[in-house]
Amino acid sequence: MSPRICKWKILEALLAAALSFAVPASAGAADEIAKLCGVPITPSPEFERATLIDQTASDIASGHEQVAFNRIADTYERSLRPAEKATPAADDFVRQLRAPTSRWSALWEISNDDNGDAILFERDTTARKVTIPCRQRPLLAYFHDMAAIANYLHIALAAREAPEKQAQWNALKKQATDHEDLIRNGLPMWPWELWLNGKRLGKSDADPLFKTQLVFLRPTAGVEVNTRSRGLADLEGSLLLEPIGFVRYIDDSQYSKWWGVSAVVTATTGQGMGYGALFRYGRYSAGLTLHHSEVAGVSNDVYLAFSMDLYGLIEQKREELPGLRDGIKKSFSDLLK
Amino acid sequence: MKNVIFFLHGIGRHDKGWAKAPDGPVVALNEAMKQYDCFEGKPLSQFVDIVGVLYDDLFDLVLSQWIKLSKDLGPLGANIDWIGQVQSLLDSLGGDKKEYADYGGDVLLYGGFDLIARAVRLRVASVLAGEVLQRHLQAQNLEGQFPKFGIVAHSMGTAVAHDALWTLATADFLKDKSVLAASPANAKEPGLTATNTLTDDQREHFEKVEAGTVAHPDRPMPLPVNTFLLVSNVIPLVSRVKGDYLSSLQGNLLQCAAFRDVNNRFDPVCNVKRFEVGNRTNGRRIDVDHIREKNVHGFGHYLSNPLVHMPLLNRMTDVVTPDDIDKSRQLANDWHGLGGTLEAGLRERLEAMLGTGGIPELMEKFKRLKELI
Repeated sequence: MSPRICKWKILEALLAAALSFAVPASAGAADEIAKLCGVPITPSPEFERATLIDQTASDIASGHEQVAFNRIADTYERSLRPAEKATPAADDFVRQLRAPTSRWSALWEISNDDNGDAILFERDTTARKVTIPCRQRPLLAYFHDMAAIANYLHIALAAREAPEKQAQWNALKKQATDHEDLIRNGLPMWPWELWLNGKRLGKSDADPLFKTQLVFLRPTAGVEVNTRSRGLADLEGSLLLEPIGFVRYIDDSQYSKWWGVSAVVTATTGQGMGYGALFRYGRYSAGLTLHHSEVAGVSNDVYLAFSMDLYGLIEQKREELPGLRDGIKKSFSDLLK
Repeated sequence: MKNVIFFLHGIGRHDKGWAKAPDGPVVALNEAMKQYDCFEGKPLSQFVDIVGVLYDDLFDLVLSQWIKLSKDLGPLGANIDWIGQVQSLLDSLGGDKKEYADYGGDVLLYGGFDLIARAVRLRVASVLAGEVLQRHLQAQNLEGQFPKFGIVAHSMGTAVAHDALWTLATADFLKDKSVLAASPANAKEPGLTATNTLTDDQREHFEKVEAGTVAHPDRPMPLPVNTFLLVSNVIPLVSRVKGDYLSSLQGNLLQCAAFRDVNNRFDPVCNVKRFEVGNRTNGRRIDVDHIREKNVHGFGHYLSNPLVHMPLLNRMTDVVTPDDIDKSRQLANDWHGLGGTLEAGLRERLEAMLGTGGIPELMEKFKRLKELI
């Protein structure tokens, strides 16, 4: 026996032991008593929860469900009177025990139909459903036993599914969190950017969310300054439009940190149209643009462009003159006229 | 363990306690339950665990960002159908997020933007799956009964719930094993992590199952819905997924044991494009025609009708007797047409609103209904 297999055997034994020590169906509070057709389920002693756990829990826990099911089926068949054994309900129930059509715990769920009867195997598209007639009173003992067995198998199989559910939920929660983080913390998207980036998602909701967000026709308010001439270096309010670009989110930042590059087209009142590139880090962006030069023999002037956020930061740091800000505001209002 | 009923809201803005609010679905059900002996005057919460699922904060978040980016969304997006509609609705309401929601704007956000729709689906799916997981963990003591899960969704919530369940049914979240490791997501939900919820034995078992999922990666884990009540169903117009959760199978078992499509013939919303049960064997339509308040589309208004609440209570509380079902059928005889002190012309006004079409018509119905109320 390999060490790995040996380890599994030990684990199975541990789990089986844990299940065997589980408290039997003492249920406790009155509202937790299992009911069938509105009346408390009162099974025969051999189908009480403690007995079922004692006889089958270790097999179910160790993956030998069918051994456990067959054991229950044998006991159940022995408990039936000849007339009961011949009923379709008992026959179908035993058949499901002997050869369950699914290992999913939901197979053993007891439902209530619209007429007030109880139903077993309601989900099963390949087998007959078992109907327990609730209008027939008193409810026959073999129906109580059937319900007790079904309830036990339902919870025992659900217990086995727990670790897998845990793994699924961990992954699902991360996926959900990523998407909400992008919307909450990421570079805010204009509607058309949100639409465009949405088209880049994978087909499945389980596909990982992108780390690179497209920037498209993104308007930003900014300022520009001519770098060529000190005399011409007045700050001018500018409308920056990023025709295309991207931002890249930094790993493990929960979509709250990013850098990016965009092409940029600018419009100012004094210098007209310009074009260039914009670099972005977080909510700040800066770039270089070219504007037609008014200097003879020089085709273009190079301008430094800032987003208003960055400009605001610089201004705050330097405690710039309020008059300068007013001048830029005036420049903006001229631009928007 | 008690059975669990999840409630999903429709359009409009909701807070965390919306399901139990005075005009919410739980109060309507509590009131209805007083009519039946089997409940002994006890409220719904005595019989089931109630989970109100909230998702409209995501729409608000996006709208806030847009309003922040610019009060005027500008002409750039007007050529793309959905964006144009969102913009024009928001413009007409002066950027008021609540008004936007009340007029059905969330439908445009969910229907037109894949990223928002996915975030909403994942939010709802994770709430549903998280609650189910807690019951699976509790099941390990083998006490009592494993619960049944019911979903009661209203209006836009019918499509959102359907789509979230489809995600759970089809998306393989265990494909990327790296996400199984401890993650920021886990840190945000300290009550539900592999490390602090499971005992040593359970954790070992977890590792075993994890190894199994690596060996069988194409294995989504569906949520076993016992009862899915689709109140004022708009799935045909608003659903964003290509599959049909309602008839989907896990092996040979229906993932949704039973659903009910609840339709009031005077409700302009769900009749814009009616859902068809078709040949699905697990579904049935519940047709109602009562008008007890102006908001014929209201969640509580629907649930007050015995034809609507009894199928849900019967399947989810496990205490309903055949006598109670008989009584509900008798009570239902009084639930037709105009009732209460409503003015006589209301029925005609509602009838005048009825009409079929697509999303623009659906938006128009929300608007006219809002104006009527």
